[in-house]
Amino acid sequence: MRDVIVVGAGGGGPVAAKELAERGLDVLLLEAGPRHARPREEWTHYENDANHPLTGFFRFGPADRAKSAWFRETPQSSFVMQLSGVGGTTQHYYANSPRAYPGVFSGYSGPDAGAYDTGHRFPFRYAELVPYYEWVEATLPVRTAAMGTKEEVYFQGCETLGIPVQTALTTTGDSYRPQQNAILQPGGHAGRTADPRLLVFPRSTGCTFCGHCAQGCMQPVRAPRNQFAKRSTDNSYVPMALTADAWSPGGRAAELITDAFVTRIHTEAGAATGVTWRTGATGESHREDARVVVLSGGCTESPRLWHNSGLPDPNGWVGRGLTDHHLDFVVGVFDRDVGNSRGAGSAARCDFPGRGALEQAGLPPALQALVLSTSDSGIRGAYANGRGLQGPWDGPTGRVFGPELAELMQDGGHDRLLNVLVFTDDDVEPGNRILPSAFPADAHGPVPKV
Amino acid sequence: MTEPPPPFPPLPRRVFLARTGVLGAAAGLTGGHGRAAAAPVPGVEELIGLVRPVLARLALDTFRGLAAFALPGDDAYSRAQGTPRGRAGGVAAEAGDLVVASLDRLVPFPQEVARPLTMALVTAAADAGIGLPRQLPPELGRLDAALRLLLRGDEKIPLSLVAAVLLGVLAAQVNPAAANGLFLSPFSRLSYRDKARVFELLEHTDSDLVALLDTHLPQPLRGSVSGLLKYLGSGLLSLVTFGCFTEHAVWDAGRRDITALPVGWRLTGYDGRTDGLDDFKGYYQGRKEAVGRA
Ligand SMILES: Cc1cc2nc3c(=O)[nH]c(=O)nc-3n(C[C@H](O)[C@H](O)[C@H](O)COP(=O)(O)OP(=O)(O)OC[C@H]3O[C@@H](n4cnc5c(N)ncnc54)[C@H](O)[C@@H]3O)c2cc1C
Repeated sequence: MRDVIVVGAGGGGPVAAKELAERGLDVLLLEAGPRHARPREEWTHYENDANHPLTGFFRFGPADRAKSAWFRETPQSSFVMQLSGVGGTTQHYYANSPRAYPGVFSGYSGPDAGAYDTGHRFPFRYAELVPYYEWVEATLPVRTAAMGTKEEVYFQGCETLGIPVQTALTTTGDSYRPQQNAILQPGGHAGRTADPRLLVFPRSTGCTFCGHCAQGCMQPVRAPRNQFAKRSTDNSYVPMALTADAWSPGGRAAELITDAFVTRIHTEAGAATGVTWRTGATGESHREDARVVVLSGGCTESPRLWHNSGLPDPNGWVGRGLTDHHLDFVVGVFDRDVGNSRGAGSAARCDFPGRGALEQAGLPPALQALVLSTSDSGIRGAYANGRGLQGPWDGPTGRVFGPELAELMQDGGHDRLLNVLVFTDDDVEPGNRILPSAFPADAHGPVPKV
Repeated sequence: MTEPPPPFPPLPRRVFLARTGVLGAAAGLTGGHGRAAAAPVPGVEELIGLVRPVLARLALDTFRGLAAFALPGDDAYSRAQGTPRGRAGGVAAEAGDLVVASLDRLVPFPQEVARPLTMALVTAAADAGIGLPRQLPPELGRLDAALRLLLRGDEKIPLSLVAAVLLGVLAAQVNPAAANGLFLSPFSRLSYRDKARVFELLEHTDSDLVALLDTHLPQPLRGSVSGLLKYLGSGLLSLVTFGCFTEHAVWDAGRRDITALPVGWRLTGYDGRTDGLDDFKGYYQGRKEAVGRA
């Protein structure tokens, strides 16, 4: 009998595992995907090897890449960018760590209180969450991001527009600023050279500006895992959880089992008592009991497991209100190099509390092309799906495709692009939801419909 | 209204005759063509063996046409669509090949859906009169006949084929002349603009085709085709464009490294092999820390 079983080693699970292992509890961390324990031998910087959504080492699928990815029904033009494996989706995240706007919490009474999703405020106050923010910001740690070329250009734009600059942690009004990132900032030669002889730990520490946040961070070369620049949980909380006995008096190392897909949460008299998981390599199933089960399988798989375990759903809200970023990209074309493929994935942002955020986002060429070819507004110049919006940009919205794509990308064109990632419409909608799909079940039970 | 085909379409009589002509030896061994239709028909496997590589080439040909659509280059497909360029493009980057490999080996797409969709596409392909190359026995010279035959076997229907036939049927709808001619694939015979029309139809999913595909799906899946097509249409465009700029065509899996510079890197000038770059420009307004409220 364990004290705690944590389901999923992504963004959330390892945080719980580390905090509890630090306090001496017996924690079992179960992860459906692989553990990339030796990234220099398992990862590369190549975009297909890393990011092909079905075959890359970053995908939502089993450890064995010869096996197909796991199926989810997505009955619309959409793509769920979640990952399996230790670190979960943080493996390819950008480590941006802004605090939520105070206006989304209960008890908020600022003059703009009506601008937020007032029907779905968080059921506690911002001030109650601040100590937790502070603890996580110190633990990861979270730091003000350095600038590269793309950030300089972005900030020039913000200055020109006369947006106020934010210097504090809490966002209280329209503003721009460098991101607060969970990235160790450049030290030694990092960010100052492309010479491989100098780009070695400890001559270089922290972010080396390699431009590969989305291919997994293993920088600098020869740094120990817990000194890799980007603090995805595989580089931060997971190492802490697995070594809690070594650094915390009274701590107890958490146990991690990968290739372990939890298929059922067991309950007795309304309380969780343990889980059953399936080992991918052998198909065997295992059961363990625990006093507490932490469900942190991500926003698609957690409700799926809840439904598949026959757990109660008294108000019908299990899986509802899925609030992801159904994002837009505005891509600016410059007549000079603005460093799109260099430096951290995102190191600058604007906030418009109550409406959303505009982030700078740097991309290598294949992901840039993927972004340019993803739209609800058809193909520019050809068809528009009834949209093709006009605005303060050239031509209608839509995919940049064919001859236009070639001309845009050629001869350094990918580095003359500046992406502004638009996060808006993030309010809770009951109809945005996960429910069991009518498609055939897989080895882990009915699949989720997103 | 077209009648939906029965769940196990009988082989047309002409196909039996073709079998005796083309596979006489096999027919001799198994006792000729007088067998009852209910029993497994001898020779069907051999016929499927003839048809399968042609259908595989049709799929590849379709997605090469798609690669040229995404990133035109100095290849025959880009010329045929009327947008040739002087430099290597998506076809040379083997983006179409990547789509086929992804769809067939690694998309977790259930056969319970692939088969009924293919059955529906048999009808649509017959209506469009899509032809296959002359080397096949004449009775198999039409896409619908070849698909019917394939459905008689119990092997997996590759998703690349389902998707290619779908694009082919829509291509023939956009331009009926595309049903036959240069290339194996109707889609690859279209102009750039007509290729865009195909995707417009695919994304605009309240068409007759959606209704046809839907009626073939078993419950509880009926009604899910329009979402599936939207997903397929946008997914194909994104995936093929991604593939135009990646390294997969020059990938050595054993060494986990490239054997030459990828087409997309040569086009853009990108080199992604670095572990660090000298682009650090300091901290905005000199601040290395954010503190306190507001
Ligand atoms: C491209 C990208 C960039 C992003 N950038 C940022 C950013 O800069 N800042 C930020 O704050 N957020 C960012 N995010 C969002 C952030 O990554 C996610 O919100 C976060 O990772 C979610 O954490 P999670 O634990 O809920 O789920 P996940 O991180 O998805 O982890 C869930 C884990 O559970 C495992 N799992 C699921 N089901 C089971 C099961 N039944 N049994 C066992 N294991 C299971 C999965 O394999 C996975 O590893 C980004 C997301 C993307 C896609």
